[in-house]
Amino acid sequence: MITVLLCCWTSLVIFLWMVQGKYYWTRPPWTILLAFAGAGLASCVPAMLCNWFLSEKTAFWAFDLDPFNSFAGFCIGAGVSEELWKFGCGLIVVTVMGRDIGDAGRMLGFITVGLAFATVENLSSYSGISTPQLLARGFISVPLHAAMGVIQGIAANRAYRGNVAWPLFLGYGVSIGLHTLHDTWGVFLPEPWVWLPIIVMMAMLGAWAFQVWWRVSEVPGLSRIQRPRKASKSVQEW
Amino acid sequence: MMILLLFALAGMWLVAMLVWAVFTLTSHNQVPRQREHYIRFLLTGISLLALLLCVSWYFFPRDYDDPLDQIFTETTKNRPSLLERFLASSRRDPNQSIIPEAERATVRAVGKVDLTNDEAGWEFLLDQLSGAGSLSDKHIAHRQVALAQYIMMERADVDPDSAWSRVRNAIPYNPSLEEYETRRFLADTLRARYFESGDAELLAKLRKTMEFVAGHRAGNFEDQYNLALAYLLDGAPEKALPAIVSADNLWPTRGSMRSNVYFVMMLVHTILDNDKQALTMLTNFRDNYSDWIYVENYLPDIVDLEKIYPDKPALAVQRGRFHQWVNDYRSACEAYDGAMVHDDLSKTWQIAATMWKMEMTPAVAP
Repeated sequence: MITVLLCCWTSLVIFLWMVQGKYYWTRPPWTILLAFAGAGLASCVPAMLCNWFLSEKTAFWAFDLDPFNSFAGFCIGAGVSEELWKFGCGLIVVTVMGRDIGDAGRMLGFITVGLAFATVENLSSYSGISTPQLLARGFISVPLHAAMGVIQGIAANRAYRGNVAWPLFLGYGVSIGLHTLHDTWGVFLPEPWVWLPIIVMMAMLGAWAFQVWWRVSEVPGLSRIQRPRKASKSVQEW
Repeated sequence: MMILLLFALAGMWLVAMLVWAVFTLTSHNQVPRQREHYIRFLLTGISLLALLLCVSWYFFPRDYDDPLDQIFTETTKNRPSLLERFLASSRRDPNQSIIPEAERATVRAVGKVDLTNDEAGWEFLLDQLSGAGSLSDKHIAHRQVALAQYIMMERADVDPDSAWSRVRNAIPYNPSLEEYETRRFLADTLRARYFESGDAELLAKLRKTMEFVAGHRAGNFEDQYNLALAYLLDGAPEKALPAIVSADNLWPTRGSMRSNVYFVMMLVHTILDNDKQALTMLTNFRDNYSDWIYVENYLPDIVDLEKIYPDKPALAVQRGRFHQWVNDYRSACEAYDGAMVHDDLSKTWQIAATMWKMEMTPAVAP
């Protein structure tokens, strides 16, 4: 039971905190968010299959002792594959039932996909690691998946507003790069220093994702951020 | 062929998606629907991933024989994940259906023997073994009784004449096997005396006797095992390998005696510098050697072999691993350090020893 809690506590905290901090005038789209969570669960299946294929049939096993093989394993398995399935499953939900949920809804949807994916990943692949390591994954890896959700949410919003495809590809590429970078610091750096860039990167990503989420409007035209407004000219004259 | 086909399909798919993307970006008068963008993105992404997987599969195939993979998993993973535990709970015990009825009958029979009543007890065992369809029918049963009696003579001060008469009584059960059986008992005696004295002449005699016994048409899996042991002790590991492999293939049951075959085979591979096989067997040792926790039973054998084969430091690494499994970290460190200063230690064993030594260092932050 403790293992299960350790695997999913950050996902729950992040999700509830985001919902509570954004939805002020409207109700959160619970049904659609549930569908996004389902998409996150579904995306685990092809991602696990791809990772299994890489580790069993190719030399690109993520934990291989050869740095090149390890890097390629992380890049293809964690970067290209996992991000594709998460983004793809999220887009299917957006297409089928989430066209009117607004910018915040779409972004929260992709974050929910990432959090559900991270939870299943913890339960299926990492629940065997030691408790401190599992705790550390809660602070680093789960927020990483949420941050990837923010990037993909921005991309989906841009693509939706401009009716163009390139933001999808750009967002996908950026999330591949960041995910691969996060996973492969350990390949490039020796043990005492391996955590420093990950922590710095995650702190910067977290701060950026936080301010993005803070600025995205719950309903177009309505914002809880108080912006200073200039008085109109007629009032100044008066 | 199949992989080339997949290769071509994934490549063509990727090209088609890119062409579609370029055309819709440049020559589209009608504004595309949002859904088209999503589909285009998904199909492009999937084809890119498929192409990458095909390239990886074709140009960088997995080396299935690399035991370091297994060691790494064993080293980095303390316990199975929840998913693995769930999957394991639904699997059958692999040993359950393999244990033959003869062995179960033997175990039941031995459990009923009253050792305080020697005659009646052994007679009962004889009947039970004969009736249970044991390995070579009644002959084996007689032999086992005789051997037990012989051991009692050696270890429990039973009258030697009475013991030897029992041995002689066992042999005429099948007169055509008299020479084979006699030499087999001789080999048992020589082995016991060699382990007590360490006399090289006894070992040479044992080897010669075992070559006859194992080469006889009635020779069985136990004889192959004993021959491999004689070769190994006599400094001929290349001859020991086919004998121990044959013993392993012929061995009809699982259990503690089979564990010894596994153990000796692992040592033979180690001495022959078959690093991959030796490392793989060491990794799976605890699943195949039921008494692995009682290191005092088998570690002296490795120490003896280290003296016979001083240029094989991998034996010391193995010994260190056994020490480590029973939490004797000091002895393990000494064994690893001793092996790693040796020039003959291969790269594979060096990596293994380094990783195992790291396991014993205090836990660092993840």
